[in-house]
Amino acid sequence: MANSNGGRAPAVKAPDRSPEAFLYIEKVRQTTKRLSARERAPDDLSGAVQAVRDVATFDVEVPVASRRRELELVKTGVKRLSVWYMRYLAEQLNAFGKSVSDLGDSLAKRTDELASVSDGLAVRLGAVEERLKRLEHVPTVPKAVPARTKPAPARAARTPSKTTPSKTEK
Amino acid sequence: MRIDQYLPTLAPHDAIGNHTLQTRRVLREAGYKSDIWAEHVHPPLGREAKPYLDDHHGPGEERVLLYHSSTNSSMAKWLQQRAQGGEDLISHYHNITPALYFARWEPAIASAIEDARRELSMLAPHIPFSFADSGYNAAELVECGYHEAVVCPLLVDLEEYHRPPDQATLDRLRRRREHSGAQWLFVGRVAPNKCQHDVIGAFAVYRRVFDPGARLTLVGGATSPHYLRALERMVVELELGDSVEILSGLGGAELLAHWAVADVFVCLSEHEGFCVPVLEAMELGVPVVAYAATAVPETLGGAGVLLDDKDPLVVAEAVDKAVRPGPARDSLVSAGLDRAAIFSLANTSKQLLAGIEGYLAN
Repeated sequence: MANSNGGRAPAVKAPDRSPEAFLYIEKVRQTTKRLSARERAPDDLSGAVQAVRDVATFDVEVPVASRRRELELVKTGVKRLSVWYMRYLAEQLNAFGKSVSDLGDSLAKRTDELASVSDGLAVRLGAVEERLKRLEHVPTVPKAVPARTKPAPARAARTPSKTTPSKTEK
Repeated sequence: MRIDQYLPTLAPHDAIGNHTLQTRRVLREAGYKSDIWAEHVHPPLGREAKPYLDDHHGPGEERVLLYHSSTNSSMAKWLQQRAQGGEDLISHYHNITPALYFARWEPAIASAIEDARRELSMLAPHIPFSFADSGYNAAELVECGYHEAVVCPLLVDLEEYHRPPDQATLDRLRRRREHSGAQWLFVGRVAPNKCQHDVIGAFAVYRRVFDPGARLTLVGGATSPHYLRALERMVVELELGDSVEILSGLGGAELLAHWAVADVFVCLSEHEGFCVPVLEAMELGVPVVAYAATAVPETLGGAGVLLDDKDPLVVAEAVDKAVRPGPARDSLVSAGLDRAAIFSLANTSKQLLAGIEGYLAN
């Protein structure tokens, strides 16, 4: 039977372009994006936690629909007889699933914090290394050694080490 | 001459199952002996196919083995051995969904898909000729190392869609339609590659911006129960109440009732090897709004609204134009009917037979 509806004019005369409508559209965009297929990098911890959350819900509402009426009745009967048991199991599994995904969230958060601290440390270390490099390349000004009749004490005659700058270099 | 068909599962109300039965009809009418061999046969079709391990025909017989490739199966290895033993193996490729779509929701299915891809490559050196449902599928086969792929669309008996719908369902839906807005419909298994979440998202925006009385019906059994539950949560989160229904287990006559009251068919699927529901929509005079991905543009052939962007607002605006009564909608319906006629069973049967005879002549 071919469709002969002829279409349908919307009930509202003008589309809703209010700020609230745009906020809702943005919410819809975020929701659809969350469910879209995506490649997940092996080190994407947040993606892995989301993947756990996607499969961590256990449903007791077993589908009973069937093209055969008698089969649907049998499925409905089995469902009614076993629902107390399924619910008991599902509650525990759902609690477990939630705990695992919450644990994942905490780990992801902690990892992000550590990564941020580590990034900060890397920046500071880089600055220290840079500074050290600069210090190592400061040319040492040779001092005029006054003529002495007897040798200078050993301590004063020591050449400054390259790794331990002398006070004069500072 | 005998041309036997092999497929992993023969099931009723399944596009590949129906295609296999129609192919057997075409072959038998053309004078070939033809049987169907399967790994799994669903009970209503128990008499239509035999278990493939019971096939004891030998390589000495004049016979072609036609394999329908769409999923993983132990049959692939068995067919490889038959081909290595000198039997003539050809295939019809119906496409394999990329594992990426299932990895997140159903890891076991993702793993089976990867097996299916491996089997597809494994059979490539043994298959000198293949059919493909679409140019998209043909290109994928060639990329996979196949020698030649001839496009032959799925054999669909479009007359089946003109049987009377279930009257009780139709009456109920018509009564409901009197008090509601535009009726959106999508038909297809609940699977992540079909992107029902995008349809729900676009519908939510359409309802908010254009038509608060609109309704959405998604019809299809769940390939991914986890994805189905995520869709149900999404409906709650977007406060869509009972304006969205997700139905499975519908009989053919009930489904026809849903087609009869639909104002638009919205397909935002990202992976289709052909997309029979798009053909059904065109045949039944329902305007199509679809995302331009994989084989969908080819099947639609310009007879619907094709979108390069599936941002919910973009889709909602396209649907708003498609459902409004007027010349634009009428031309979409008319173009759809013309396009569907190209895929009539008579035309596609001729294409299939020409392909087979071309192969045998060479």
